[in-house]
Amino acid sequence: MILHIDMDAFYASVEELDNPALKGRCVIVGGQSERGVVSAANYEARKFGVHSAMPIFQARKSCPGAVFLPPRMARYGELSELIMSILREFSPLVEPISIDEAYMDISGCERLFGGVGEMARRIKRRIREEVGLSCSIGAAPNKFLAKIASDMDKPDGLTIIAPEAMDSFIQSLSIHKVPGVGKSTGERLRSMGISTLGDVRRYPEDLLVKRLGRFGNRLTQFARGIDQSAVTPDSETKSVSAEETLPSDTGDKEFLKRYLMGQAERIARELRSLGVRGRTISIKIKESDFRQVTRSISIREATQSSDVIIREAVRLLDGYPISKKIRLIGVSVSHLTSAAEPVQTDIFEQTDVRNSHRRRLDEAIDTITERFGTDAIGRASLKEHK
Amino acid sequence: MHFSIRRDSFLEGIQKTLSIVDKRTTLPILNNILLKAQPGTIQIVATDREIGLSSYYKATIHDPGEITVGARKLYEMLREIDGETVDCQVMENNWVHVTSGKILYKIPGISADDFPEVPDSETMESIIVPCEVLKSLFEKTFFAISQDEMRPNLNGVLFSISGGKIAVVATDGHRLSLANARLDNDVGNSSNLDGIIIPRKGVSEIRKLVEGGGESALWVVDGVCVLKKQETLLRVSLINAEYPDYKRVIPQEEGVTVQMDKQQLLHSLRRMSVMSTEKFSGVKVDIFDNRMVLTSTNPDVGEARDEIDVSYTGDRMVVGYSVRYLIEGIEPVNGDIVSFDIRSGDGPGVIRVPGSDEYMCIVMPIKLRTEKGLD
Repeated sequence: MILHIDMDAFYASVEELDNPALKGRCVIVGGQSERGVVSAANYEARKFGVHSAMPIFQARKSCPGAVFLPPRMARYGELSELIMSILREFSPLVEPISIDEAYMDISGCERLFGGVGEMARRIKRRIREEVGLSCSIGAAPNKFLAKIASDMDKPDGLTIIAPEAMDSFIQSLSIHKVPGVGKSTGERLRSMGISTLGDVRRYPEDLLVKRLGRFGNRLTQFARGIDQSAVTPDSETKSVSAEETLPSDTGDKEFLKRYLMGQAERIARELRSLGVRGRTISIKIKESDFRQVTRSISIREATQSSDVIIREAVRLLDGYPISKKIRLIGVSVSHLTSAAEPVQTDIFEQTDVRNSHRRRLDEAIDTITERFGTDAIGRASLKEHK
Repeated sequence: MHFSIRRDSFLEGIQKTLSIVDKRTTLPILNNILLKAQPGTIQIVATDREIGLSSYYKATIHDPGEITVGARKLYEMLREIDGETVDCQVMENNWVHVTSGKILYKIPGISADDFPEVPDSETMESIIVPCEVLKSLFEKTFFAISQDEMRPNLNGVLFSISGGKIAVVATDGHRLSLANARLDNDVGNSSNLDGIIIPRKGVSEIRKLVEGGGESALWVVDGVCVLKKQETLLRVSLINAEYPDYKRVIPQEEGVTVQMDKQQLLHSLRRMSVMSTEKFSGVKVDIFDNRMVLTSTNPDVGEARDEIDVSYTGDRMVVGYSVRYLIEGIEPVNGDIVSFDIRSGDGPGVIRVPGSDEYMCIVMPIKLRTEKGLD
């Protein structure tokens, strides 16, 4: 089964969350100039006919009492990450399709959580409790139906299309609900006497393809309940890397190390926010004649610790004899695994309190960085070149 | 070189060399064994450079000399020969004729000059240890030896004879197994057998040699551990590395200790291991209200649950472990009762024999991060 999770009026809801005084009022997030358009409107504003992509001036006309706010993308992104990380705790196969929407393949996981319905309710509950926002979830045997389902009961909805109910659902599904069918396609279909996917199924495929091109094939597939597209998690990120061309070519290892450490730190932070750990740490060196070298090492236990990645990256650089000046340096971490996977603890690291100290330090730095930005806190050893 | 020998003792002698020679080697002569005919005996020598095995067998020597031949083929020939005695002779161009009655095998040999030297004559001060003791010590530790090439110092057991005690330790970083035995004679603290690392393969050869009881003499010379049992001499190159300070990781305070019937616990764990796959082999141990509930949940396979009555009324404890590590750690326990000492969080679990310090296995938990996702 596939879930489609769609946050309800995401931007506007975040604004309400951060400023409870907005509750119950019309909230419209969008460009501030008169040439701007509506990015999001809450459900109160929608009652006045305001919808996204509507020009702001028109929205002002329709809903004069609304609160107009500029979008705060960083804040939305932050909450989006939190939401995605909650989803990833339920299934490793999470595919974010935008800042407020994701597909999830829960095949095999649903029974762990007491069935599809119970699992979806748990997801909704956790997002509500931990993020403070509501979402709508559609569950269906494939992506396209899941997306349609999530839209059926908005806001705060849950619609499940069970495999056995799929057929009758498709029969009566209006083609206007089908993703990809806009105004013009919709009209063309209507002129062909097609208003539901059931009609599509009864229509000869070759004729449909003649009129609509390849979309005709796709539509026919949809009408048969087929959507082969798989949920492809972005956590299948193969590696996380950072590299910088230096202000000038140098052979000064201490100078290079500071760059390396800054990069390693940023990568570690990225790994932590992605919820993954990596086993292979590599450094990349481009010499002044553009010759490129990489050196890598695999460690036993996958890590997301700043300290460990810095330590290994610096060790790799130490082991590299510099013969020419260096113009570019970079670090990458690969062989990523989900941090949610069970981890066998190591007997010789247990008494090593440094490990838990490191983790707590990372957490503290992450929290500070999240709230005050990356310049708020950093390693003293990195300060010199800033 | 020409000798006659009883087929069964020749066959036995060659068979013992197979695990040493039988592997891919870049040096073809290491696929061979060295046969040395000396008055009254033949010596059979095999080596892979790390491990050397030399043993003597009674034979009738017609003409002394030496030659090397392929161990595997010689073994197969002797296995198929049905006569009581076998005759072995080196002909021109190092061809070796193996005959018995009307049977004749001809195989090409390689001159013994190219065979690596396996010294067997040095006389050293040795420590005598009953084979049974060694067998039991290695049985209790072998499984925990690391096979991770990144940790060469853990690719063997730490073997220490000191005072009247032998201790063997093995660990792969996830579990640590420790076995102790007392010696009848106190060897004092000067032994150079105190704190050597014997590689995994060497341990497995020693285990074969000590089968069948008797006594063995042990000594160390030039980074090589030598074990002599009757007419057989096994030389194992030691791992030259620093073994981690294992005493540091043995928990000093007791955690929550429950005692259980060994077989019952093993059966329960094997039931859990049905869920194990290469990727996942965790078991959740949940102790509360005089019960120990075992569950194993593998998204790819399913779920298993079992329960054992224990005597425990303290705070509820939930810890995850690798099923295999628990099973392997419990199997060596002598007797019917096993004691399991559990700590919450990242603390180690300790398997012991109640009232005895002859064996201990520390098993590190698996952090079950999925807990958070469940509610």
